[in-house]
Amino acid sequence: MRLRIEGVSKTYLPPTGLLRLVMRAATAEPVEAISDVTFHVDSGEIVGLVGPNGAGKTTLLKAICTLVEPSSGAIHLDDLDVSSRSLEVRRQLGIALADDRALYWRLTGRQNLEFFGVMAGMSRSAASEQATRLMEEAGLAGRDKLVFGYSSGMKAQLSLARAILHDPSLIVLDEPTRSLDPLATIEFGRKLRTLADEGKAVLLSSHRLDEVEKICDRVVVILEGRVHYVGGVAELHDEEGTAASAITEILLRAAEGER
Amino acid sequence: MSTTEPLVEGPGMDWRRIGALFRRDFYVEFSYQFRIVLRYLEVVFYALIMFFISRLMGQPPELDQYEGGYFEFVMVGLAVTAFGGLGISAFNQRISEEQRLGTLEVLLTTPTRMSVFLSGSFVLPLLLTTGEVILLLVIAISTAGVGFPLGGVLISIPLWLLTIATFCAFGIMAAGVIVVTKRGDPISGPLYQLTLLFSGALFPVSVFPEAISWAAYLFPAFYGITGIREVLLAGGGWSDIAPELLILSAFTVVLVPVSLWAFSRAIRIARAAGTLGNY
Repeated sequence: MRLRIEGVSKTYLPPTGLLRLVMRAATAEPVEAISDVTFHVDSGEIVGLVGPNGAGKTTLLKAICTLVEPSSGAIHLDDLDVSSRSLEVRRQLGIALADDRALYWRLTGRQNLEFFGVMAGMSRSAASEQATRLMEEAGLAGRDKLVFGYSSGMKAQLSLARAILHDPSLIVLDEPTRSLDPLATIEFGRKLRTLADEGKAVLLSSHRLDEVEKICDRVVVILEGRVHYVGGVAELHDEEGTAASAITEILLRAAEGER
Repeated sequence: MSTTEPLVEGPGMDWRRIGALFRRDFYVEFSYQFRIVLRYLEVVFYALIMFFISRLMGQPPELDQYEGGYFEFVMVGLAVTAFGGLGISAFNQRISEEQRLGTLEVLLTTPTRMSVFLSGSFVLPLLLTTGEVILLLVIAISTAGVGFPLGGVLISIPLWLLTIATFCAFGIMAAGVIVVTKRGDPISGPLYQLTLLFSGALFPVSVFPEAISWAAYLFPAFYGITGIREVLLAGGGWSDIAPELLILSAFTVVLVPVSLWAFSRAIRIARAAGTLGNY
């Protein structure tokens, strides 16, 4: 089992004491972003994380990526505790965030990949070699230029290339296909499957249920910070027609329950 | 993925990352060519302004201990405070820039130690400021015929390095504040202004009223500027600058670890609050 998330909760507390004078919180009240979340992602598996806006998906992904400290619970990547051994965890982590600003716009796409490759721990030559290969695969090789001249779709392709550049064992993707055209989305799904077949664990957050249905092996439905369903996409097919409609049904029922 | 070699951490990897950070900054900085030209033109104009002010001032008696006049005196002061301004502001500007670009979070998910990130991000700004300082000193030599003794230049190197290190310590603390507050760092601006006022960069501290002259001793830059002037303008040697070297070393030994601790504490606070990437 590659990624284990056990009883993870995160409550954002408003700053207290001196911090209150210098730090601005989004609200003055504590906000429970995720509560008692438990699931796992195996090697060779693509797990979809589904939920409406504000469900807690991004907080969960950031906690996995060592960017947010959970209030309680534990996250393990293989035997490594994400909180206490974050540097070692980061060596095995590849991420693509939804924010397309997370690239250096005054560098070319290739320069971005080479830079992040070395920061991830690759030699300069290996990063360069991988950048060449991934730029070709993504159809960016002949169109490389400063990133501010990239279209949204090209930036998304570049973010994906960066996530897998250093051969991570866990790939975390936050709405990675938001800006991709249909053909690029299909190609992206194939690429993810290849990576999973190589033994990588993939956690994919998405609003596109058709994409989750086609790409993912299992799905985690999260609403108001709580997990409402964890199971195989194939099982959803069996029970209620298309998996996408079944996931929608789960979300609607969960929303009713929360009310 | 057969081309990917195993990731091996170690000092060699830290140097590679520092090199990558330098290359990144180089490409970004030189994509704004005009800014660099303006930066160096500004230095030339500033030096010329000081040159004409110094002609007005003649040879003040407070500077009798130094060779040359006010121009040489102030050029050395400005050179040290140029590094001071760099050390104080480079780190918080880098953090703000990464937050604004949205790259801070991605960088923090790489196995890069914070000290490596900070060091690597300092290399190009340090080189550019060194260029400014060399330009200042070349202008001083060419316009006023100032001659800095080679021995003095070499002896001054540890003073430069220690002075820069103390400024960097304050700069790293300021960067920690920016990680938490996002904007409004209360350290850099006031510290730079107080340093200009009290360190003797622009005028000798002997002109202060006695009641406030003690304040100069609180600023590491005062020791750096005093020592560097001693070896460049007064023919001093190692024994003359030993007290300044000792005091600056003490400042460095205390301030650098404290600043790194404060910065990592700030990262922990932002991580707990979930605001690392906000700006």
